[in-house]
Amino acid sequence: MTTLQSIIVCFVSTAICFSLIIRDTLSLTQLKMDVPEIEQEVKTIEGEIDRLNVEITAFKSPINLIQLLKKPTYSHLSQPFEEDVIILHPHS
Amino acid sequence: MFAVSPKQKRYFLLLWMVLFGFFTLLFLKFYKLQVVDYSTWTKKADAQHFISIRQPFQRGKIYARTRMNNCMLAVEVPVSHLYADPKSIPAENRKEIVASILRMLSPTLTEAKKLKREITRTSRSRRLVSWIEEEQKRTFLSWWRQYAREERLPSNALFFIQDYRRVHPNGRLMGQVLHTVQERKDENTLRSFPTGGLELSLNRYLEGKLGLKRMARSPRHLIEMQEILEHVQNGSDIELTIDPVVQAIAEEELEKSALLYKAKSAWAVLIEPKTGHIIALAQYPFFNPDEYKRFFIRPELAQESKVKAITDTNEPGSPTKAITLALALKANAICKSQGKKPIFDPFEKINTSKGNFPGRRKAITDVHFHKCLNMYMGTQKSSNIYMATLAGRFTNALGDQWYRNELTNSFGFGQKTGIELPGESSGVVPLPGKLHPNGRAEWSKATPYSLAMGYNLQTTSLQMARAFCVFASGGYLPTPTLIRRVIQNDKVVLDTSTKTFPRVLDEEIVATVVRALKFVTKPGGSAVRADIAGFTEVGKTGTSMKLVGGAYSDKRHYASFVGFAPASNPRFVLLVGLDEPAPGYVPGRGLNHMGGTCAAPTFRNIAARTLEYLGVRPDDPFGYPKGDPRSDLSKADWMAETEALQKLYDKWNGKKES
Repeated sequence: MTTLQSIIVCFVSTAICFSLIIRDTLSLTQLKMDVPEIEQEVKTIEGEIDRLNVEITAFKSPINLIQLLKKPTYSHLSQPFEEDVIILHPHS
Repeated sequence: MFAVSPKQKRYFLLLWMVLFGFFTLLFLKFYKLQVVDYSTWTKKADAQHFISIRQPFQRGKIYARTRMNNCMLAVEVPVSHLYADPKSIPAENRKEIVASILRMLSPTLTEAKKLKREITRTSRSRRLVSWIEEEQKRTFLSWWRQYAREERLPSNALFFIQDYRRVHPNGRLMGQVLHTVQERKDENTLRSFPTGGLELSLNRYLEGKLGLKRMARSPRHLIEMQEILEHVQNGSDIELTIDPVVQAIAEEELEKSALLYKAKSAWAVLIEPKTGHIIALAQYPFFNPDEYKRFFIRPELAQESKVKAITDTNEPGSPTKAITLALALKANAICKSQGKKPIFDPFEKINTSKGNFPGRRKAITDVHFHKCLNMYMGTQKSSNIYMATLAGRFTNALGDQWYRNELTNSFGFGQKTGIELPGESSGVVPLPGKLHPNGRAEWSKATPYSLAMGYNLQTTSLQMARAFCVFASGGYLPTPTLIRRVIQNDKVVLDTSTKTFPRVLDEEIVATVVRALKFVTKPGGSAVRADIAGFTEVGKTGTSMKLVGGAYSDKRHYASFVGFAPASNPRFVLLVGLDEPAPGYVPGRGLNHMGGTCAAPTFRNIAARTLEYLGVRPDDPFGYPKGDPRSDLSKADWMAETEALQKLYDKWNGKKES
């Protein structure tokens, strides 16, 4: 290979390397720019989950459940004795 | 070439020197700005281009376990506050913006009034509307973005700041215990101000640490840089020992009782005797933390926001007789160990016809006259004279100081229990040798007789319930607690389940006291209305007159019942207290203000429903009220013993008690 050819190969490979670096940097920047938006979205979803949990808890509130239990629809229900309840532990 | 005259040379030299001097000064200035004052100017530039935003922390959750699942009691939900940068809003746009805010964000009346003024201030940041829900925020933002674009306004002329709001999904459930935090936070630290209860006493756990985030700013936008200077640290979560279902049962029954017996207020304490875990701490009238402002505006309502079972003291009355009994038995054991004669025998026939005791101007009387009683009868009939006799005997044998030490050390009276709530009262136990401010001795000759029947000392309801834990746990004095665990970042930082407690009474003494107390809820006893259908129970009623203006009032009483169930393997100790039930006789009910009339049935109702909820199998299968197909009084628990005691009582007293 002549000196000129070597220089050309060197230039081309350097150019390719640079272009790859620039491409990756750009995509990384794009991702970085997307992060705040996604973070905000996650926060909004988490907030929504919290709000829904509060609503579910409010419905499952013992005060509410005790009132429901007094309705004829649920009059057949009774509390099980503790020895009749089997608790399955997930890791046992 | 040009010839340069010496004069011209001088000019050139001068010019050169001026230029050199000028550039030197310029260089020096440049050096000062870029090198010497580098940090100062960098700070100024950063301050113009970057902004540090504080990130609010989420206050820890408070939750408790029911039989089935976890139940959130106090949590934070994200909300936003709307702020304006009035300098960026031209005057001609303000009217329309205000109208849109009023229409879409429904501000409070105060906020609405201030809105027009706030938006015209010469400031870069004014809060316009607080506590905006996510949906309202979204609706408003979609309008604002379009409006700002059309009117060529900076999009950050109006902006939202995220915050958290404390909510109570269970409403008023255990409101006095939980309390809440004020709506307004500290402007500088963004910390909340607790209004009382657990929110105040556990503030050090519940509070987190603010985060700090750096953002770049342009004239129109804030640019997120993802540069976090300090990470947000949310508060720790607290798991309570309270069972929300038992709490709800207690609150419902207290409301019913307070209304039925026309009591000023009513409260209940349920404790697990072996662990000291408080299962319920209920009170009526209720306090809803979400409406705390309403309670604090009016002083009479503010009273309802405190936990009376720990802040208010009363002369407890008859429940103290169980303690007198235990101390008499303990004195017997001490005398025996010292080779002395025991002070009494539980089966000894003691004369209770006269109530004259040394140091007392007025004789002690019983509700009904009894000629002679033994320990079991004395407990069943709640005899003041019998208990005063026992107190006289053990103070003669072991001294006043021994009596006082036992009340404070073995039963925890006169000292705080250490419960995690603010405002706990320590109560009062008189001290031998100490004088009142008026010069009279706290402990006089007559004091032991008064103490024996629950007068001359002040206790909180929690102290009394804790004292009964000694009988329910086989002789141990637990430390009551409301906290099961404190969890920070999924790590348990505090766990109260492994605590051990000191033994204060021998098992044998406890068993004897429990046997005596079992007669109280059986026929002939003072609290037959506390008998729980299908279960064995132990307890003692109390009715004490309240001190009003230095004298006992016969119109104002404190009625209580404290006991536990099942008798052989207690699941809880329950104290029910009714403050000032309507005094007097009510047909079909009896004396309304007596503990046996109003507090005993409340105890029965709460205990029965709690045992059913906990899934405890009835241990007295024949002990049901007459008329119930399951009832067979000949086979019911403790009925044979009760009948035998009644026969002996009749024989000694020559008549059947009315």
